Amino acid sequence: MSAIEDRERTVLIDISRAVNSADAVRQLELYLEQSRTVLGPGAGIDLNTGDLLLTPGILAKIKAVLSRFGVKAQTLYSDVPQTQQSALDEGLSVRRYPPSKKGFDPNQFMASAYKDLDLPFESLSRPVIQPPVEKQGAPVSRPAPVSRLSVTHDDGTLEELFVEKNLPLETLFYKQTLRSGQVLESSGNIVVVGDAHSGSEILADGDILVWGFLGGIAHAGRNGNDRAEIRAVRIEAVQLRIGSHIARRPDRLFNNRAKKRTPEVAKVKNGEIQIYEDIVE
Amino acid sequence: MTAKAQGRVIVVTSGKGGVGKTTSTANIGAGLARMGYKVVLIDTDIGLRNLDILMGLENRIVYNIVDVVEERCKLAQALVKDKRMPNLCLLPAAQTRDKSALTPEQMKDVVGELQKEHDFILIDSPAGIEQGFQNAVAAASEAIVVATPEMSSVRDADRIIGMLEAKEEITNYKLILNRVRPDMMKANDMMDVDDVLEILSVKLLGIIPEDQSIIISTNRGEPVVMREGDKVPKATMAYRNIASRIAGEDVPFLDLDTPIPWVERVKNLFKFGAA
Repeated sequence: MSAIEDRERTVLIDISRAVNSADAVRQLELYLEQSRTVLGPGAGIDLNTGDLLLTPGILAKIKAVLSRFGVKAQTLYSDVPQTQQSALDEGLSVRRYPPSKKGFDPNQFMASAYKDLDLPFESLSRPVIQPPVEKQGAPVSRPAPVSRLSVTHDDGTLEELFVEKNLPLETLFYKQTLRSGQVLESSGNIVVVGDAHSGSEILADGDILVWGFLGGIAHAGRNGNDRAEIRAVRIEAVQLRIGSHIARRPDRLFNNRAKKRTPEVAKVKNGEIQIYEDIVE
Repeated sequence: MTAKAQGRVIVVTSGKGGVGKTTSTANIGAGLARMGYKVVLIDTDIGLRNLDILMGLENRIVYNIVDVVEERCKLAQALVKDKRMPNLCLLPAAQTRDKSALTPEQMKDVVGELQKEHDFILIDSPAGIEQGFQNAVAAASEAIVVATPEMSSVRDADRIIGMLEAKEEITNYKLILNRVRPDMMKANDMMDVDDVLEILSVKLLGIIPEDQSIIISTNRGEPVVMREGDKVPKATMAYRNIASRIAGEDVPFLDLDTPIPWVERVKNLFKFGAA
């Protein structure tokens, strides 16, 4: 029998917020324990140790922990010269800390759990259902859509901060639960006020917002727009598709996610779909 | 295994819903794959698909059988490889369409293509006797009828067997009696195996005991037949035996009454199988 096969991939674990080196080792163990079902054998681990001072002894301990979980250390990010030297001595590649300086982001970690499928995925271009054409007489002329953001100043003048005429994307509001087998699609954006159950599909050329739980398939930027985003109060979608990217839900979700109350957003970063806490900064 | 021969095409059907077609398809398929055969499972329950959930493959589906017949993707793209066994794969049904999205002719084409590459093609049929059933049966040459020891299930199975007999292509059909409770049979509270066989006048492929591990497996997305180790549930052994019988081995039927010597017998069977 073949063991569960897992494609090799690299996950970044941030232990830079540990109070000391012992705490760093403990945190690492905790993260690995939680992600045991997600990280297959042979997965690579990048570590961010921030400004922790780690001796060669501690690094050897860290390597032992990683090998106990069947994963291997790849790159160590550190801002401390001594730690960098220890890591080099232990045969790790060393860099200064990468993109965001935010520290450990549980959602970034979650995002890695949403794996890319092995399949080559082409954006499914299904025909978009056109709104019915009015049959009687000449077509009704509708006013061109305008969106604007304005402020009225103390002296009574109106300042338009933002005006957009003829918005290319209109937004479909759907105020109902989307159930298994139902497909909601639009050539614009889609807002679902309710839950989108597993087995349902939301397909939009623009962005998708689910004001509820997203459990089905969501495809934003269906016409190939990789900058489209998918938001929901909770994302547990069977699959997320953005533009030409596709990611699937891990086979087992983290237990602690059920208690989470922060809305989430999925977007394409570094060539793959990642999920973040949706916080306005 | 069977190198150049065409794969065997077996439809799993019942007429009545909820008697264990999908569970049986998943377990027999995984059982055959476990023996080393190349197996593909086809879900023909379009609009109400379940096989993907039982297999734990729901999150890996990108294309489905309707995408294949409507030429939105190639057949190979729609096959979802099992995450545990590389020689097992699933051709999922579409969830957002209905039965009319597929015709018996299209089904034959798809199966004909799959036969070249696989030893077994197991087709999970929807409940009922309408188009979904016709699609499922169209390409099959063998059938497995699943029934439970209840009058309603047996009557529906009888109807289905009649329809299978009318199909020239179906050369062989056998019965799986599912959710059997030996204690109730003994107390005459449930139809006994011989009663069912007599009513249906059909050959028996296997008996599956009522087993709560089936429910656990369904929810976990891991067919019960995949459990390994010494203390596997009875249903695991029952499905393994069925897979062996389909593959042509002569395996005695389980004695469901006597669990302890039975486990011993299973162990012996294993030793024999491994040799």
